[in-house]
Amino acid sequence: MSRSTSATRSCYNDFMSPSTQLIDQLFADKVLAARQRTLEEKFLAGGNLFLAAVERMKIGILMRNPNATDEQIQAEIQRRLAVSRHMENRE
Amino acid sequence: MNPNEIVAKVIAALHRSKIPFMIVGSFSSNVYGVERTTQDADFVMQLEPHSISKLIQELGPDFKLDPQLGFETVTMTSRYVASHIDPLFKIEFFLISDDAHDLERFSRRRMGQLHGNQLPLPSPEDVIVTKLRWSKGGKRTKDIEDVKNVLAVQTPANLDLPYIRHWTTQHGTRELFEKLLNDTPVI
Repeated sequence: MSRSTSATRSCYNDFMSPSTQLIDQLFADKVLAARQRTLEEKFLAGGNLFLAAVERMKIGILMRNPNATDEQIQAEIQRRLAVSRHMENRE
Repeated sequence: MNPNEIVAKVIAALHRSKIPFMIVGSFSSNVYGVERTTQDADFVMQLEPHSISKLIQELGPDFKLDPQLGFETVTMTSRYVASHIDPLFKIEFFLISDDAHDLERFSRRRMGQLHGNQLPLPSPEDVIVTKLRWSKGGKRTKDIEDVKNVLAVQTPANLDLPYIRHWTTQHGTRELFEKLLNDTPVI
């Protein structure tokens, strides 16, 4: 990598990296929002987030392979989830 | 099918089977902390010998429960794995063990409500103790994040810290707990 490219990348990373203050503020916002939700809302959130993640996976698979059948999409999602479970257990 | 509908069906089947149970794992840490996505639901249940066939019957044809008892290597407990016809979401039933904390956690479970049904959950203190215990000394980052979130949302002042200290000392995770407690921001 040339020196100028490296310097540009370093500037870019410095510019794009969130400050500690911003990270703390984002965490505080998440905590305050969580305290506002009911037990039922919080209980159901994990499943709803999972569903949203699966929908995004489907879109991603279709973008890479527009001719994929429903069965192929389902199989690919299952494969990715299995990898994710495996990685979590290996941590 | 929405995972929450699958979980609601399992809860209803467990109630109809009269099996004492509670919902653990990320579903319970989501209740006390900051919600995150989850791709399986974990139940702990107190099972009589005849209850498993009753549960299979109550779950109905949409579920397939492997009647063979398996073993979970992270928590060293016995489990049954159930699959729904929608194969993406997994349900795991853990049998309550004779481990001292496992028994106390079960006896202290709290009742929430979900769609008018009783929703048995561990206490926030027990979520913290269990997550730390199985975090492999803090290496399982999602467990540590869950503990940080429960501490921040519940606040240390609202938690039974002597209870947590008692069990984390027993499990060898006290130092890790104190570090996380010290790092908990006041929000």
